[in-house]
Amino acid sequence: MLKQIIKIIGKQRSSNAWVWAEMLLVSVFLWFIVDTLYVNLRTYFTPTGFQIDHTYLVGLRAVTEESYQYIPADQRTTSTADDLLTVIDRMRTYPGVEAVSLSDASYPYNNSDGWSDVKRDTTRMHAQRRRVTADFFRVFRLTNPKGEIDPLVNNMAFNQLIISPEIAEELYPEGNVVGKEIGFHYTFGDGDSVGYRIGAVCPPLKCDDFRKSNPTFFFLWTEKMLQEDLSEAALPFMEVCLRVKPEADNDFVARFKKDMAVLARYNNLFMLDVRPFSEVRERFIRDRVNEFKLSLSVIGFLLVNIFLGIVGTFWFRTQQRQGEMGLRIALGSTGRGLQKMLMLEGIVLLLFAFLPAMLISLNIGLKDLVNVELMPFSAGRYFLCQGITFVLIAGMISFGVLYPALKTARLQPAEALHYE
Amino acid sequence: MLQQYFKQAWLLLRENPLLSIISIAGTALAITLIMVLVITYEVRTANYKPEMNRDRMLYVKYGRYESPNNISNSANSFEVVKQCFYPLKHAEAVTAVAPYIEVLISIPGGEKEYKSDVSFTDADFWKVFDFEFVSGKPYTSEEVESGIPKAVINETLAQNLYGDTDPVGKTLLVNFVECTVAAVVKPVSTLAEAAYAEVWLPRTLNTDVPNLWVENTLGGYRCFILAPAKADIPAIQEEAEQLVQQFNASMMEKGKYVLNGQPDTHFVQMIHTIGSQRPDVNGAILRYGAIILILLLVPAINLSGMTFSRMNKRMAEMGVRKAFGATKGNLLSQVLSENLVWTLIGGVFGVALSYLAITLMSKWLLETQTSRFLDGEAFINAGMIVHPMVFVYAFLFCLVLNLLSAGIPAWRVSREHIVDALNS
Repeated sequence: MLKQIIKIIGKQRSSNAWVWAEMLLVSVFLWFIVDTLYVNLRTYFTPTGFQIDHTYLVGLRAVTEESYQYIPADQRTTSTADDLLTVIDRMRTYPGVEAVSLSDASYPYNNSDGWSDVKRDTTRMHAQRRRVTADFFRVFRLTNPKGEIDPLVNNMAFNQLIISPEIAEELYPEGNVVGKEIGFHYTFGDGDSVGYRIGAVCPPLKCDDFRKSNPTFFFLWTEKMLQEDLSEAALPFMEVCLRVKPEADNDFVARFKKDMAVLARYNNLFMLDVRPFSEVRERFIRDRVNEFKLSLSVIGFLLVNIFLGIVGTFWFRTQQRQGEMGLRIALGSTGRGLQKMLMLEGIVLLLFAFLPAMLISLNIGLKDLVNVELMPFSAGRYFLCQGITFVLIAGMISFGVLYPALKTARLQPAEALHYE
Repeated sequence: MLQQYFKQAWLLLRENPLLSIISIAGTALAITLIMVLVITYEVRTANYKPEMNRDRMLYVKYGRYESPNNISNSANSFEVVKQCFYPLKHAEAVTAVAPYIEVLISIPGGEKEYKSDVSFTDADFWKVFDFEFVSGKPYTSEEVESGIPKAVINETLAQNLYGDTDPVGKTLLVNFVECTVAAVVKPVSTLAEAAYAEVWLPRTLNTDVPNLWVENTLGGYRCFILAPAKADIPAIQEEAEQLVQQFNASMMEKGKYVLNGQPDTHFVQMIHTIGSQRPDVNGAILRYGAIILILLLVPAINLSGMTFSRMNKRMAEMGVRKAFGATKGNLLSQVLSENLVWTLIGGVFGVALSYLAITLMSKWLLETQTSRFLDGEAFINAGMIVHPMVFVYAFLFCLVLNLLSAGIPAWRVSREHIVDALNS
């Protein structure tokens, strides 16, 4: 059977050449896109480490001296830091609020980030630096490897760092890191003279769904640092994040906005905005999601083209070969048998195109032209994506052969032979 | 003769409906995808209100400061604009804009508060961009210089705050600073990135503190330069470079301000998304080209196969025509023009479908790096997407697709030996 099919394909070289060429091209393009999608999806479905349901981002600002409501520093007894802490306290006691944190370049889906070195003796590691208050772990529900939040909250102390597993593995490959020494130099505030210890280990943290996790560590934002550094102009960089109890999380934004228009309007401070992290996330990853949709449409386009090509070619072919088909039916082939034969013809043709395409793809992969930043180009990844590509194209071929085959199978032998 | 071919193409089309549908669908699909790309490109580059002069605009969006121990990237300080771009002799108009600052907008005694995007501008902003005014007039350069708090707001905000679209003269609170509404304009789509904001204020109301760490070269300002004509662009770029050199000379070698290839033309600034790097223009064109090539090539091979099968069937007819004296050129043009009828039908469907796709999915097709972080809407209107050029492109791509999909079969047919052809 197979031998015969190969012979038939060989005999129809000239018209097969076009489908073959198309299959070859599409196999390579499709594999490339499938591979990209696979890598991105695998990354996407690895947890970010942050739990952002029921969390909100608050934007605070200060009125400037041009405003009739501005209170000059000499007419108030409190510092900007005092005012900020008062407003945060008011938010903390707001009905339904579970926790409020203050941080700097730390929350997920963030446009800014800061990096520093941490070290043990001579081993150094470049890691993302996050300055937070202890409640940050309550807001985003970050846990230690055992799944507990409290050890992180309780160990976020002045002379301790909470580190991610990447740092733990790099600096203390022997394990058991909690309580061990870690070097970190922070050049302003009162940080640099302190010897730090590891307070706890947090989960691997990704800045957004489509990225790999970064080595990262947390250090405490003390009130002293805040009092020393904070000016009204720096308020846009203060990240106030809060978690709301699930039962209180209905129409929260509207209620909170209305009440905070009064409660957060303290000395020169006012609340600019509060928005759910789901929205912050959506905006941040929107262009990646759009890219994803674009890839899907290109896959769709390529598959539809394969389908059209197959229908076209096989339709013509079965028409041209009606004599042969008739003869087969007359000699006892069933409709189903014929259908199977045509389908096999399509698949064998695909195999002829797919094998060289696999070689081309392999070279593309080995030249690192695929995304190797998120995932190494491994044999497993290569064969899985090739498998998916093959199944997709083969499915389209079976689908495309169906109609011409059906038409042929309905043929009356006498009528078909008549064409001879 | 041509008419004869078209008639024949039409008859062939009706003779085998399934195959015709497949060919036309294949063409339509290819043209749809290509036209979606073309229209997306048009929205980003074509002239429409208020960015009426994109083809003769120059952009300085980023600034860079270099000294032996400090390299910083940001936008520009107003000082740099004043020293290096305002004096440009070849320019028709130059404007400095500190764009998209989030503020709280309210009215005295009002309950409603809106977080809005503000741009701080000079008075020439209203010359460089062609806004549609609903009422009032923008602030003048004297008003900017003396820091008079006058605001231009968009119609949506006017409606939301005051309940009517003519609040000129009423008071507006911007972060609790009192301003007077000077004018109301039609809302601007976030896709018009240079002109977009919801509220515009005189730049003197912007509190910018000189950053001495970078010798006051960097700050929050972008600069847009309008050239009198497209041909003046190189002269302006050269003049800007000279002015920057003079400016750097005045810093007495403490450090220098770097243009990084700017002022950019509209196309280049579109690719210039990372301030610290020079844009890879050739790479971007290559990528665009490669995508379009793939979109053309796959369906072309597909359609070639079908044209080829069709021609095989009609070899006898071709043989007869040849026997009666048709030249190679005759046959070639017959196949190509017959096929063109099919391609054009597909093309019309394709263009219609691409407009449908753009309208339904404008959110994700048109959005840019910047626009997703802005509060306003990335809306589109007919003025932005319907351009004569779009249809010219569509026709050109149809011709290319036609040549790609029928070229080889036509060539084969015209070379077939008479006897062989008649034999079949």
